[in-house]
Amino acid sequence: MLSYLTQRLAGAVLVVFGVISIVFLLIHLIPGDPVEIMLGEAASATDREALRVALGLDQPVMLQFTHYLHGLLQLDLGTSLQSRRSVTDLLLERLPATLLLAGVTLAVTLAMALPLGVFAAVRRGSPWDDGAMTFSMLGVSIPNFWLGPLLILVFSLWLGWFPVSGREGVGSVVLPALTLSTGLAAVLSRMVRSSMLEVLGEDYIRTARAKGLPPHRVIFHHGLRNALLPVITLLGLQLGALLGGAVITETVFSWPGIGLLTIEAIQSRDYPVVQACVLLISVGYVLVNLLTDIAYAWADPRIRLGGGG
Amino acid sequence: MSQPLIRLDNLTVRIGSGDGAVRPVDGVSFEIHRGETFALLGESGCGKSMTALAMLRLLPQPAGRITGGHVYLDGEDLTALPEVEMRRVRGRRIAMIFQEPMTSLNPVLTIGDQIGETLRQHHRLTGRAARERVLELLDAVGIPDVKRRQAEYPHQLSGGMKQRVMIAIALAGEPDLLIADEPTTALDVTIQAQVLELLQRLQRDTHMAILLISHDLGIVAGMAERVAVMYAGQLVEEATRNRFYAEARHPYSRRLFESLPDVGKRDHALATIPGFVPHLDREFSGCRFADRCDRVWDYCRSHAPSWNLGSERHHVRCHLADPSVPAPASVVKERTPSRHADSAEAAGGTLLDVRDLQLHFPIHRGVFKRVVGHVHAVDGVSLAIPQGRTLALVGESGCGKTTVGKAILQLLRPTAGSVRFDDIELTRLSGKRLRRRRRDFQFIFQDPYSSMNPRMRVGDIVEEGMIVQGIGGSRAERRRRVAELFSQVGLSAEQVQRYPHEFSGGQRQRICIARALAVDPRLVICDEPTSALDVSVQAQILNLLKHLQIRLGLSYLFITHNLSVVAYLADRVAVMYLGRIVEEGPVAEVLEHPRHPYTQALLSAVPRIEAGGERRVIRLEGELPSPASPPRGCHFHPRCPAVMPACRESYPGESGDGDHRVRCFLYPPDTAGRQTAR
Repeated sequence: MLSYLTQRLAGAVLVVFGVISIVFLLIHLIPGDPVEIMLGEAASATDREALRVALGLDQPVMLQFTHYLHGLLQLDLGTSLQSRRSVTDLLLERLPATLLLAGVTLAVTLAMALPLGVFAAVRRGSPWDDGAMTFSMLGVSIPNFWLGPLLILVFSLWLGWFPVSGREGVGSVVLPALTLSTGLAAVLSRMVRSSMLEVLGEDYIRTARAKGLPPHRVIFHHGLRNALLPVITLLGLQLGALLGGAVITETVFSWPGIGLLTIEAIQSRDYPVVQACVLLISVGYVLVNLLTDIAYAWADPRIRLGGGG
Repeated sequence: MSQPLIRLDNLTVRIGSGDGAVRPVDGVSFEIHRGETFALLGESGCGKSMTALAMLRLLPQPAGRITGGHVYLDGEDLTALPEVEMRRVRGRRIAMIFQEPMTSLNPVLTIGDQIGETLRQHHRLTGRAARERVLELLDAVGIPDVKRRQAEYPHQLSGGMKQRVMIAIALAGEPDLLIADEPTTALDVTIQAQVLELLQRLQRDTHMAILLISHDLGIVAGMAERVAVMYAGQLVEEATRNRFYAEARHPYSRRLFESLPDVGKRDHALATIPGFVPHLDREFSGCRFADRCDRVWDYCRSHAPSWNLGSERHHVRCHLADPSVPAPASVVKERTPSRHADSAEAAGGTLLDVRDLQLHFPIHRGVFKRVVGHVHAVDGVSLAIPQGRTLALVGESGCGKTTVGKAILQLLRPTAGSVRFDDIELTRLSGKRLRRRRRDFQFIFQDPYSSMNPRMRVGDIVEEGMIVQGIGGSRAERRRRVAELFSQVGLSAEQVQRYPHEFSGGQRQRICIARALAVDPRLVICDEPTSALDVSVQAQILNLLKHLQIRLGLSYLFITHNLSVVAYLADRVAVMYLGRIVEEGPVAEVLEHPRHPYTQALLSAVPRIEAGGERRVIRLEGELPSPASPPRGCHFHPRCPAVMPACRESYPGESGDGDHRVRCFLYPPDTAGRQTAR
């Protein structure tokens, strides 16, 4: 178990370093001069040069990279070109919103997908199954930029239950979370269903039934635990995407999270912020992947204890 | 006689609905008494397992259901019980163990949990009392070090251990009836002997009845008191064990006996049962076996035979046993087994010469994948096969025999040693030169289905080798050759356009044989080619292999664990244990006068069908050790009944006369050849 974890951890560190390098290089390779944007076209050449030096952009790329890495180690991500504030502060300001939205979405997704998928599998071929899968098909095919406004229209404008946008009070998270989880739960419930169907056909399920166990124990204790193994992978990918900020949904609801910050930064060519956002998104993915691996090991003794078959 | 424990009355099962519905169990009746072992015998697809599942009402859902008949347990009709009541029967009154211990245990729960579950469900045992009972049960089924084992997961246990755990789960409910569905089919013979002995001992101790489902005449002979033969959803014969083995009366039962390979039939083709088990989706007007029967006459096709109650409780479903049916005017076909043509020429020179073959797999550990040791899968194997002859390589699973096959073919590159094929050193060939050579040696695998691409037509599968090797001429010529190969292996040339899934197991193996033959090989390595097949189909494949050898002068390396196949087919036999050959010699010599204690144990563990066979099984303790850390000295010494101090010190050298070699300290290197010291 320990060696499994060290391996995963070492891999994660390597990936993060790769991401940092690539993001840094890409930002410096793409056309467009941040100095020009900051000062406007009317600025004089000496002013530009002065800012360039001030930002350290006159130094060789490798040196800039080392500086950047050095800053990273101290959690210094530079200064926003737009607001002149520390990028770290900006991120920390937005992160709680994204974490809250991701957490609630994950909970709602699981609460919808697990019962739906299990129920559809156990009652395969029944109207229940058809109903659950029709819902899932709808969920997959409705885009968030449509579902979001629709929910706002119904629940905010007509019924007035929740705020239209922004992040004020507990109620404000409901609609964005619902928007996000509909699509995720739709995909996840299909996965749960097919995985559960496969597991229910396994020999050990027959063994469990031959023991005289009641159906709920066969389905949940013996079935679901095994069926969750492949589901964990998908869940990890989905959670990773959420942590990176659900760009569209955050925009629709003006949710002050990382996604919205990224969009704002791109629009104003605020490179340090873009760079930091991309970095955060990738690190989020890597972290979640690591968590997925750990969850996998927890759920499957064959991985935890090594060896197979 | 007292009331039977369980009585099946005209049980009928239907799977599916409408036109596609099949009746895998069609009016089956039998009874089992307390403490008795009753065997249900038959080939795959005859309905044995469905009968068992129907008794527990565990038919595949939602398609399967009981459409007629009753199952009485102590007089109570199980088919009429509500599901909740039925759960008190499953696991408590009737327990079941399955063929595949590997997949029948839940991989994410500890074995202690899986046993404890039954205790909680049926005996309300929890906590400390349950834990203690779990340990008792594990101990009862012969699992060592129970405290540690009960916290382990199934993947940490060997196949034999898993089946013991399955038995412990079954015993946990203290059932009146244990249904054992092919309980040892997935296990090695020595482990099989252990498990069967365990079942017999537990039966004596607990007085439970056993319903043994098996296709193996040998196992049934050793275990059962009464035997019923099932064919196409019906019982066709039922008798006490002694009567059945002395005088089986149904033509199907008799054919099963005749199709078993053994040493006495070496010169003859084995009896086979032509055709297939009929599809059970239709109504039968005549006898279900009529199309395959060698004693069929007109009456059989128009009148279904009834269940004829005979004397001494020997019942048969056949017109031949029915005095009210007029006997046929003449016996239609009385076949005598055809003789194999004599082997064309005497053995030629040595075709394959393997010397000191070694294959070690590195074991990687840690973050940097350091090599911390080696698995000595093959550790100094030497063997030779003459032109046109068969060498059998036998041993238990995990002993390295398949690896030897792959190393000879250079599919795995040997670590050391030489493989000379027709005086060419294969280990030094590589790339194109090796690929061109590959046409000379082909492989036939254990599982024909998974060794064919399911999306290719079988004709293309057979042709592919010729294209790769650039032989067989033009496309039209190759096509002709494929058709010719198909007829050579007993398939029709029209079938080339079909896909692998459209064939039965035996037919698929024929296609694999055709594929191997397509490139005109001289050596064919057959890795357990019949172990996934029924006996009657196995007989067909063995006949075909023997026939092809005589006609084409092929040499075979026959990798198998089945000693009766060895006795029938092989010229020489090499016995392998943990990466080394421990005994090698002519088939008759080795099988009749085995020298190595391992060979002796292996032979004694094979179930035999001699009636009333009170024979002594040399019981091997424990299981095959890991080849990553073989025992010091002779690898076999921890399990050897004749172990001596010297065995713990060093690996014995080779001894014996020129033809029959053995590696064991019982036979001193210089004298053993002339002595028969056993």
